[in-house]
Amino acid sequence: MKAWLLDLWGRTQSPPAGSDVLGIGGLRPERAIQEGRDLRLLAYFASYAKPEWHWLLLALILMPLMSALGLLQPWLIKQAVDAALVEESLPALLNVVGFFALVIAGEFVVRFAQTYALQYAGQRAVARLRLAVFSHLQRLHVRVFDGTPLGRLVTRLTTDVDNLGELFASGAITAFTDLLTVALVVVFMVAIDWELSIVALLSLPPMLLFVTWLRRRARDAYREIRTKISVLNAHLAEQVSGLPLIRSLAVGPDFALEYRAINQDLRGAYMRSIRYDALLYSVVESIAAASIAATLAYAAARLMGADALSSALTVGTVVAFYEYIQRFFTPIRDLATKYTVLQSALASAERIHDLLSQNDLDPGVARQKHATSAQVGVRAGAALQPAALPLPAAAQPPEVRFEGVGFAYVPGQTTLEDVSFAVAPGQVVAIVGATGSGKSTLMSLVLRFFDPSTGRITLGGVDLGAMPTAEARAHFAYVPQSPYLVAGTLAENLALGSATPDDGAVADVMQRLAAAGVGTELLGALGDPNRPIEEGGANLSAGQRQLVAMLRALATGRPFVLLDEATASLDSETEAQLDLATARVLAGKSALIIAHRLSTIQTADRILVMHAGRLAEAGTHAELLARGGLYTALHRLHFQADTRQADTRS
Amino acid sequence: MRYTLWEIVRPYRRQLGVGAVLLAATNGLDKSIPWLLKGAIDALREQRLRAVVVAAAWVVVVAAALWVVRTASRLVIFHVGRQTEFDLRNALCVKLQRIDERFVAVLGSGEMMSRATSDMANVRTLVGFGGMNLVNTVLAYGLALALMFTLSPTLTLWALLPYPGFVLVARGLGRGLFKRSHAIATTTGALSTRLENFIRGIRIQRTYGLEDNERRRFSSLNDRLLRDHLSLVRLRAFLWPLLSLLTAAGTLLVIWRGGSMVLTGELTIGEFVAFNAYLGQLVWPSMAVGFLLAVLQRGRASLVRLQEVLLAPETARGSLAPPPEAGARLSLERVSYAYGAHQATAAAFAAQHVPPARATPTGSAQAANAKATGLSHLRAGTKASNQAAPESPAPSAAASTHALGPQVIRDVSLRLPAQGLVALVGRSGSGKSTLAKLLAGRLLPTSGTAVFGPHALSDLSEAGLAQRIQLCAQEVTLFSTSLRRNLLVGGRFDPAIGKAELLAALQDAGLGPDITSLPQGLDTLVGERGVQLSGGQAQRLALARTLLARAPVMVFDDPISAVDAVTERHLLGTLRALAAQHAVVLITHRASAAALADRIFVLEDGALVEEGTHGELTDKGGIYARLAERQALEAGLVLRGAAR
Ligand SMILES: Nc1ncnc2c1ncn2[C@@H]1O[C@H](COP(=O)(O)OP(=O)(O)OP(=O)(O)O)[C@@H](O)[C@H]1O
Ligand SMILES: [Mg+2]
Repeated sequence: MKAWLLDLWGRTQSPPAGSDVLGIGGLRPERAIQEGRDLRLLAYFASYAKPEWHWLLLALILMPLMSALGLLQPWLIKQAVDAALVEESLPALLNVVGFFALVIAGEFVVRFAQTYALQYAGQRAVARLRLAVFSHLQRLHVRVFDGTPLGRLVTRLTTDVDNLGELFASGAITAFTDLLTVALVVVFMVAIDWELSIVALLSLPPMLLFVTWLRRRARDAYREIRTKISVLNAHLAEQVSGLPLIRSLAVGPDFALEYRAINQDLRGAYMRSIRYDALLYSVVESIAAASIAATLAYAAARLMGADALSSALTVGTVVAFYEYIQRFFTPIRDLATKYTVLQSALASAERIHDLLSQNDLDPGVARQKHATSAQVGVRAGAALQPAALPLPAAAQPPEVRFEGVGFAYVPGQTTLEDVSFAVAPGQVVAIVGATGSGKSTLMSLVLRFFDPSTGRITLGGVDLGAMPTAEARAHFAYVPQSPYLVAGTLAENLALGSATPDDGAVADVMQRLAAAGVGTELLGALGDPNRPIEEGGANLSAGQRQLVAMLRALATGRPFVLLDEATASLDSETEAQLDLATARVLAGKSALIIAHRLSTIQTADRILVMHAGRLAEAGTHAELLARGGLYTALHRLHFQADTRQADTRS
Repeated sequence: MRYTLWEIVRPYRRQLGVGAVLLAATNGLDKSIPWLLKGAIDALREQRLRAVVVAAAWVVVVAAALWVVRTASRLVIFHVGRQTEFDLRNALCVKLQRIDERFVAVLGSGEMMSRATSDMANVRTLVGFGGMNLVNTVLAYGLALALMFTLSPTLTLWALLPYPGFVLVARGLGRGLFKRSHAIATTTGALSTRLENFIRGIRIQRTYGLEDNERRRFSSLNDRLLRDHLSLVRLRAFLWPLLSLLTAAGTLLVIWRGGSMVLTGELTIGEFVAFNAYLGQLVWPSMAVGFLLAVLQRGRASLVRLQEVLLAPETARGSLAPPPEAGARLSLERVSYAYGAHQATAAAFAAQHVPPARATPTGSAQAANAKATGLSHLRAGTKASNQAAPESPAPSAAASTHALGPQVIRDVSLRLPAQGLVALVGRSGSGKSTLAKLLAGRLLPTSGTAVFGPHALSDLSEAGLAQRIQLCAQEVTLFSTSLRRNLLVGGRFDPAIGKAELLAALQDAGLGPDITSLPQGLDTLVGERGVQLSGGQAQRLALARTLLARAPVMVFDDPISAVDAVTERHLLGTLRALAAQHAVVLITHRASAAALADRIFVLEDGALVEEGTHGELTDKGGIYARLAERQALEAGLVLRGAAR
């Protein structure tokens, strides 16, 4: 059962051999970190913290101060013992007490400032990183999105970025302060008694060896956990998004069983990792204790062996050493805990880095020089002007011409071959053909989501590849089969999410729609323009969603309309009101329409019949019928269906 | 089960007990080192060097024992942490099988996953790491204080003087920590949902140049998350130094008073040193208190968010699952439905059940809870992204203002035949899909009853329902896995379903030719990890899936919207054939398809307005007649075209 499961759900772990053959442009799945990349990775992400340099500098300056203030305390206790108590002097004691008070007050202030500066800088850097990753997503080629599970991309911006933030929040980033502390401790110790220092630190080398060994083992365990957890989450994500289906088929228990099995697997991996966690911590503690013992023994030996007075070994020294040894080992011990955080942060850093270095960019941005990470302001929302509805680029539709266009999503598997046709300004062209014949691909090429592999497409006589993509796209009003709706009001969605959904904007949209020849009765069917719409349009019916998508495309006033089965879920009355058939809303515009309804098709100025990636036939309805080819066959089927309906009626 | 912290760890109370004992032993051994040290130092002063060496040897022995005990204690307690995580994950998955589907729909899948991952991790940290540190801290304090007390009761009291401050800090800052952690988790959830939808709309954004708009939407959430984080940072940055100060203040008092006592001869120097050593051992536990507080409050905030899911309303289903009664019929009686009912339930639920209402100041408690369910942004005009600071108080009537929406299905009564094809037509938004879900028992009527044979649908279990009625939904669900598995889900993983049967279903659904063109046939991966299916292909795959799930009643919601005429005819043929033995409901906009039905129901604004055969309805001259006429006109155009 397990092998079967992992086979089915474990794709995140190891992509099937065929996935490359399928030519999926997705991100690399989870994988192990290579040793030695850690530092370079951290350096890479440090650039996001650069604008916070003054905070970081402050934190850096305060760091040794903080350590020193902390380390002064054992020394003051030593003073209390040696100068005040052994000498039996009250003024000396009060002196020490006064100093001590100053030191702890100072430590409080410094510690607060240091922690705050560091975490403030950290969170701002993390927010900046999140925005940078988002901006990068905005520039990636659409095939990256087609080939990467949605949840995984979302995770990059949430869990993974949070993991980096945890470096700051947990103080793991201050691991190097700890090293500083350790170094300072050694300085203090050597200054007091170098011989004793050597004895105290004798256990250090073997301990480091052991810790390194454990660390390696732990790293392997974490690696295993990461892959398992991503399998588990992928499974749950599918359960959540497919919930209505799973429930109505009553297969929930089967899914739960599978989930449990994966979960058990994960638990096993976790339990293994715990062993290293537990060992790492306790080893350091015990070695610290052993060092104390060694110090004591050596002190005794020295006092025994030599003249007690000449050896200048005071009781206070031993006491101070006890304190220092503790302060020496504590950071090392905590390093173990911080190491866990560091590990998961590094793994996340690697994944984010993978995404950021994914340079399969959308043609629209590929040639633009993009903002570097440092230029990305954290509060971009404030920096950007509220964008108004994008204006139509040109009132006149340009001619679109395909010249011997060939295309393959996957090298070697042609999707389109030698397609040539033209849409003259003002023409309405319908595309028909079986699914998989390449109809939607034609639109993807026009919009430059993809570029043809052979031949060329021209827009108003200019090679599409030679003009700025954004400029080219601005000619087209595109309505795909599945609409994109955002949380907001209906008017906001009709206005394509323009910033301020105030009354002015509502009126503006209405005006644009009226100008586009859309009757008010259509808007009536959608309800109050100010009604709330949920993310994805969840509170609308399927047809209503398509209607919104259609209306807003028309409202842009763009001169060339691309409809990809955009009215499939609309009822015929609404469709009639929309009046695509008699092309009222398309007056003065060009259109390329993929549709199944004959009414839309047959009134087109031209019909393209696609078959297996080739343009099989082209012409007007009448011409094609006269020709007696594919279209005629298709039409006959429709014809039969419709006459039978007529028969039943009569 | 209310999934309180205690209930979660309860099954492991024995392990926790063992863990606590081990931790006690660890602490005991740990504290014996300063004790040995005290003896050694006094011996050192008196030049009893052999005693010093003996003490040192003891320290080594203790260190070795400490290693064993400490490792064991950590193993046991972390084990419990992971075990509870395992349990919680399973519980969440099991809950998914009963949870009200509307609750998940309203919450959004991004939010749901955010709870299942980030919040789950926070709770785990609370149980494992937090639990261990809590026990450890308590023990460390208890033991250190006891030993200090034996050394000098007076001095111990002095040392304890700053500690009431701890309690005040913990209580004062704890609330803030909880609120802010909760805000972070909530914003993270909203961000996930936003991102999911953003990715779905990437092509539209590119076409219309909406990048800046999208960026602003994202930025406003990102900024909010940053604000949430920074406000937590302020608190945490204050917390640690404060606790460290309080601890150091204790040391200060001990040096001063203890030193004086040494000078007056009430205390030996060795005792003084040991006393300080014990106090020193409290430095880290005190710091741990700060960390613990942060972990604890964050874990609690996340637990609340998990509880909202784990205790979410469940679909009111019975437990009946007898085999389907032969010849039974499905009927609706005076059924009405309004969306929003369950949203209101969820908000009200959150207001009642979620414990830490006391953690938020008066009026905003309810708001915080409603926000927690991710529902308040729907209420507030769905502008989650521009929402004001999380502290902003909301009207306390939050839950009640969120009552039922308008009635989408009004007083519908209908009776399906035991066999035959029934068409359901109506304009977009007239309530067809809603009615389909009511027929299939996926939604339960707000009033009226849905009955299959002798049973009300609400009395049937999920499995009992699935055996009787199957719904092929308008929105297609595809799993990113093999074609085969996508189909097998429909067959409910029945091992008896062979390849031939799968291929037959695909053939019936008009996918036969498409499949033969796929290189790996049934084993082809679909979705993000494989081939992209077109809308029409996905629709037919869903149809094939439903065909495999054969049930007496089968409801197809607009199954032919995205297919061409040839395929449409093929599919209609399949449905007609199916109708010979099943009750088949077909929702469609095409009169040509509806005309094939034995009976047609017309829905307008949620009410059944016409019912009859194609002939009856066209004669009657109502809504359906107009629809048929319009489409006949189109057909007429075609006829003319053919004639030309
Ligand atoms: N989840 C929801 N929450 C709130 N309102 C909803 C929800 N789903 C649908 N509605 C509303 O209920 C009404 C009926 O929707 P339904 O999906 O049943 O229509 P439909 O007849 O199936 O339309 P279509 O032909 O477009 O699929 C519509 O007004 C719609 O806006
Ligand atoms: Mg519907």
